Amino acid sequence: MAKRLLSWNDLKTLQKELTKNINPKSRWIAICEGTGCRVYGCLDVSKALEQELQKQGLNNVKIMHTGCHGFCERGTLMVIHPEGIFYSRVKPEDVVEIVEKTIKNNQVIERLVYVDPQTSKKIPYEKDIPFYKFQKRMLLGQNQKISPTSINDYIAIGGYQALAKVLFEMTPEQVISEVKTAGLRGRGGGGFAAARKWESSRKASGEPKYIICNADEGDPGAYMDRSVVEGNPHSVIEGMIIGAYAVGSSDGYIYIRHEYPLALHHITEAIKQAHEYGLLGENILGSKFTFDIKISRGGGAFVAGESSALMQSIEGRVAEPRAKYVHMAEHGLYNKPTVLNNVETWANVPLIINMGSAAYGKIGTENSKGTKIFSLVGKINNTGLVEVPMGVTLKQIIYDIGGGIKQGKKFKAVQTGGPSGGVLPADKLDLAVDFDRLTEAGSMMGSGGMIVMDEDNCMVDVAKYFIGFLQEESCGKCVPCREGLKRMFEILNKITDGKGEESDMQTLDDLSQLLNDGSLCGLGNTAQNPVLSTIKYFRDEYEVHIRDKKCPAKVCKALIRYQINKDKCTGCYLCFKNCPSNAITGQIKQKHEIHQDKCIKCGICYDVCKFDAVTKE
Amino acid sequence: MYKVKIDGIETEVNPGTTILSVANQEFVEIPTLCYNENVEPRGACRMCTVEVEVWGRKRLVTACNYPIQADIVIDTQSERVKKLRRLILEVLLARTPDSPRIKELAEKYGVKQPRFNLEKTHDNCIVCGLCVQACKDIVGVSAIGLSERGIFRKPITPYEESSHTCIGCGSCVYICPTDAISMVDKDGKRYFERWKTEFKLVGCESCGTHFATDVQIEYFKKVMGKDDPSLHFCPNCLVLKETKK
Repeated sequence: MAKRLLSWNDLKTLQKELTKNINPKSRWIAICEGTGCRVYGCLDVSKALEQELQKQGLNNVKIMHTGCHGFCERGTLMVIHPEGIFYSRVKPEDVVEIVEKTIKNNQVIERLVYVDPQTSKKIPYEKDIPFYKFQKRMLLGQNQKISPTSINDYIAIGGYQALAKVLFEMTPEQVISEVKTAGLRGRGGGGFAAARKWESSRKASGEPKYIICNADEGDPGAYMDRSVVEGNPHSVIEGMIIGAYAVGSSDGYIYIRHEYPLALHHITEAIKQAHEYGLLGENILGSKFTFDIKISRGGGAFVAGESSALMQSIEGRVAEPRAKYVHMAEHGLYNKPTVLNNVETWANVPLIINMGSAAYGKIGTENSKGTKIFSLVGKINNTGLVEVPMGVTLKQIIYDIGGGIKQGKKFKAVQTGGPSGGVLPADKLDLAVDFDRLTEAGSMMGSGGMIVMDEDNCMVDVAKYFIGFLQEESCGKCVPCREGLKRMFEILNKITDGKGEESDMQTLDDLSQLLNDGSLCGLGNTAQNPVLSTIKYFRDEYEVHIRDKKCPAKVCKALIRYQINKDKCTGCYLCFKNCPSNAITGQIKQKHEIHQDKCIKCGICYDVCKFDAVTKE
Repeated sequence: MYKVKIDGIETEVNPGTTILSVANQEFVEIPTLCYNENVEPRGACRMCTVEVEVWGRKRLVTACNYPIQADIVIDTQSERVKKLRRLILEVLLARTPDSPRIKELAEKYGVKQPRFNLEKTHDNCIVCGLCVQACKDIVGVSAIGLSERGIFRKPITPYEESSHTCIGCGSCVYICPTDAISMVDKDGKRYFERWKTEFKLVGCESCGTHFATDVQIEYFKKVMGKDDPSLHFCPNCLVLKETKK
């Protein structure tokens, strides 16, 4: 059992003790063990590395089993310190060579070094890799220095110092004022000023007051909150305790989805450790302040991320939003004053206290301060989590950090903000990314999803995907969202099936108004955005679908046909063999033919043909 | 007290008064579907949406559950409100083309033919949830609940089997705004098709008319804590007995 810390001094002493033997020149290896790298088999790499180091008697080389590094597409990731040599796509069979050459003899192994997809240059050091170089990793950077299951690691890098400072040197009002001056806005979706929620909750009558961390991240393709909880759970806990002190709360909840087993495991472990050190529970760090956190697991409904629905779920009921004419800050969980912020917002709080609001306020734009983590996915070379200061342009994120579009294709659009957000076309690439600019452009920040699309994406199909998602995830309580999304989905299907009519555009517009004006919660109020933004920027694409019954991107199955170009076909038999619906006839070394009545337009023939003989029209 | 101006009519109300109650008091008509004064308003059907101006900001809110917290100007007939009503009725009419209540409202607010495929299920349920609320909050048995989500959301008995907790009181039938729940009393039995539940009816000890289910009488005995004489007679005979006294 760890020794309880009874004062700020105890914490300082512990930190000193933990850091006293650290030699900046000593060798240590950070292996990413986030969910993404686990899929690539990082645990086998870790095991192999441990065994090899032991075999070689290199007991002084420390392995740091860390959370997500962000460059998920290249896993397993390994960074060898002190030089910061970056190896990606590491396999267990590479380990012997890594130990022999790099660990023992300081040699860089060329074949494991990152190659820039744009310049084809080899870049051995992490700090020089564009993906990392252009980021500002205030939150994610910590992931690479600590093991998420070790509170000592977090304390060693200065963890819980912000909490101690708050408890012993600041009044709750000063904390609120500091967060207000820093300009912290909620990272979960709407970008509401965090300090304003805190303030009204502090002033509201009713006991106990609740603090909630929303870890019910559910946007398609978004996983930054998962990575923060997985990789640095104590930063979230510390932020929550500081928030609780400011608000005057004694009870906290972390609402986390059950589909995040690793994050759930790490946060559970972290809460336990914080308890043992006396950083949670009664008389935190020997002060008079008492606060505790419970974990509430979500069943995976998208709508449970909506604040009022989330609170219903914690109370043991079906996650269903309710009217918020009276703010949650006054009547929230169990009808008591409640402050709800998401993972990333809470994790920013210790940073603000440590840096000071003035320094924090220098990062970002006028009304959007600090950094934002985006999950950069889709047709992009460097898939992963990127953290950038607010105000960088989409172009910088997509090209400088993301390395541009895959296979040299043309950028078409980027979808931001998840299902409630919208798509932005190429002429918006110079848009400075912050809460207000994105909303003005018809999209939103949302929780930070960023899906990059190229010329092969059909915008009607994209809108259909998101409306389909939302229709399934709508709770079904209010008429506009339940019925409106169903009808919207029907019309989009009609258009992609080649049965669209001119009047459908007006109907889509009307349904958008129904959703926006009529829906009960934010999910419904913003559900029209994927449709409205695609119409706004790609209206011609809708019109071609409706008028000419053609899909310009050649995505919508009903509007395309596969054919074999007889001049190019060598009769190799490959498409014939692979066609799942026996729609192709022909003999070896004779021209093949696709029978349209049998073709299911799966595109396998197109993909397997080595002679570009299959065409898509 | 807050100053209220609703469709030009000026009045004053206590804090927390809902817009709908002010409207009722001032004889301003606001259409509703899922509102019933005996249960807490859920704001699910959105029919009662009105436009308000409060703290210098215009917004749309539902009249049934919006508590007045400041001086307010309410417009129940703005263009935005009227269009929203028509759109809500259009999607509802497509969902329940047979419902007399929805047809009546649609006609009143100028919705003719929906632009969407009409549902052919002949089910008049608009999933307002009143039946579930009545069963839980008025009767106190929670024999039904809302299951699934999105377009599949619907009121059901557990596992869609005959409910063991249902007392066959018919409150769900009476409260349903679109007559989506049927209750048939025939040959001494009561049958709810939607709930696939059947009950034995009990006759009045005085006139013999079937007036309640046996389970209902037993439930009332339990709630009242005794076998009250009133539980043996139909409402008509009870009134007669009272007047004779």
